[in-house]
Amino acid sequence: MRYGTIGTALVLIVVAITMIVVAGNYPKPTTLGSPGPARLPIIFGTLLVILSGGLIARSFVGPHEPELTLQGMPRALALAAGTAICIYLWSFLNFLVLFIPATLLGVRLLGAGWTGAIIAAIVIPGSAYTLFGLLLNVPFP
Amino acid sequence: MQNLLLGIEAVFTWQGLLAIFVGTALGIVVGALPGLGPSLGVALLIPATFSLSPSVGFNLLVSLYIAAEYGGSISAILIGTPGTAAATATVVDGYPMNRQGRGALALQTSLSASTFGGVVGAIALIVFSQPLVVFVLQFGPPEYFALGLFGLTLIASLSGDTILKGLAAGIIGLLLAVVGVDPISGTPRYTGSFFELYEGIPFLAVLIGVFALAEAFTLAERDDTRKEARISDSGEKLGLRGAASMLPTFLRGSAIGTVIGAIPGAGANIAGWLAYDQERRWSDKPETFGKGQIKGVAAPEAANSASVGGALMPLLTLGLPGSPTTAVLIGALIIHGLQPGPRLFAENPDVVYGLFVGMLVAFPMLFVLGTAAMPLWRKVLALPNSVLAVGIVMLSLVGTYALRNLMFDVWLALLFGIGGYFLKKLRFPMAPLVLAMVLGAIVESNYARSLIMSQGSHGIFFERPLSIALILVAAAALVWPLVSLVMRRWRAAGAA
Repeated sequence: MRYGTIGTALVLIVVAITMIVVAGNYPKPTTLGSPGPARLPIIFGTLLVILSGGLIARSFVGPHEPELTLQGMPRALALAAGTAICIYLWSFLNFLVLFIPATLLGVRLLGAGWTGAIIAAIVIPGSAYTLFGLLLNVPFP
Repeated sequence: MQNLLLGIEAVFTWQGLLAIFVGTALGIVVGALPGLGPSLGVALLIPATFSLSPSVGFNLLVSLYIAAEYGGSISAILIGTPGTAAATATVVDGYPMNRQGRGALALQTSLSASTFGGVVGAIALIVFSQPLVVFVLQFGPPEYFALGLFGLTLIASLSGDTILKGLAAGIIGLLLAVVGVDPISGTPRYTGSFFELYEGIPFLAVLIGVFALAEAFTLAERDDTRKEARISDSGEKLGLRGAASMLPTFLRGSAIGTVIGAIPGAGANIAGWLAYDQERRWSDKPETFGKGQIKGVAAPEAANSASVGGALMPLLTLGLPGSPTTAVLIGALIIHGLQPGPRLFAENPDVVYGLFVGMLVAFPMLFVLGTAAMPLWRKVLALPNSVLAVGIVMLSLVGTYALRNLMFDVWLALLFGIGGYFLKKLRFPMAPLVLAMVLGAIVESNYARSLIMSQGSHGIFFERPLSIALILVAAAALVWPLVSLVMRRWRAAGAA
């Protein structure tokens, strides 16, 4: 987990420095006493740089963190990828036309049997469509 | 009295009672399934409240919260795995009771204790919140800034053992809160070419991303096997006499739960363990605890349900969350255009008093529903991870879209879901991120107003006694976990 923490801290430092630089270009305050739009983002960004530095230092000299378990991560990332594809296609396809087969495929690929997958493919999108589409009148794309 | 009548009117309609019933039923299921929990349940249910009145919607969410704290005991007793963090202490004696053939008795005890503790917590909330509101009405922008600062220091206590990571998550939340148009100067900040960000990052997208989607991805990691849940029944019943004999246990647990729940950042888990520990100390037979002692189930369950009323106290009166779930509830209030704190009592008494009456209805409803549906819990626990994961994803996408009917929000939720998944794997806690996002806006707006009042002088924060007191408490709250950690390591090194 040490390298994961260090990597994350480095990303946070880059993001924080970017936000500080962007905030530096915001206009100065015109109201007497007002802190302006840049002050707090710069303070928070600076704090994040310091904390991220602390995380990196602690990763090297602090107590050893438990190892990161990567088991099962491909399945999680596959679900995330499938979700992204569904979001993209949702703008082009009817809700039920998309999500019934998507649910069937997703549940089946994650390990359920055919019976469970078919029931889930009917119940889950059906319930979501009934609640949001019909009862709450949400206009789906 | 008039406000109480408003509350009764808000609850005793078919929509109000149905909302409490649905929230309670869903809450038991969400609490019973390990890995879900009240925060996820409330976050997913928020979109369903958009077309409801704020009072009915809030009761739906709070009923789910209440029922989920009880629901965690079901899997704790039946399969030895707590459904929620609050039920961790219940496993110690609840699971052995099931293995000894007294599972049904353990479930009855848990339900009775939860109902009793919850009602006590609700009464404490009703009695103590009004005097607290009168006190808070004296606050001006400097005091609200100091209060927000104090709220941010709770990040340290919400972070557990990973304080640095919790603080980092909190700062991320503060940076997310500044995205959008600056409320004082009108300058767009970090919006790029996305007009969808002018109002800021939609809080619901963050909530659903880090709590629901991240959890769904985590569930997807595991193989599709669930433990076989069996409710053993020796025929022994709790009965009225049994419940009466445990009244001192119920009362002790409820008192501990209410007080601990009211301490922002403490939470139901701590309340449960403290109540369990105290019950063992008060017992004539402490050696029986851990081996199927019925009071070892009653005490933590009374405490974790009472903590709900306690946790709602700082939320309603100060606008500070008493637990991670109440941080999500603050988001729900803000999404409905309501500001938690004393203004809520003045401007929306129907919401506040509707909640008070709703809680007094929800706990007895929990008892009835929990008793009637007890034979079903085995089947609930048999739901495979694959169905849960895909179901949560579906509800998350649709729920996020329902807020502003923008696909942009759905993509944002996925982004936060993937980010939240990786941060959770690296043990970055998400509750501080959510808390900081909620409080960031309060801190910034009151900071700006205070400085405008004082024409730029920071002395205004140190000229007012309430503000000074809150800043000192905030400093102490921030420093104490670090001091405590250092002292523990020093003692451990000394002992070695």
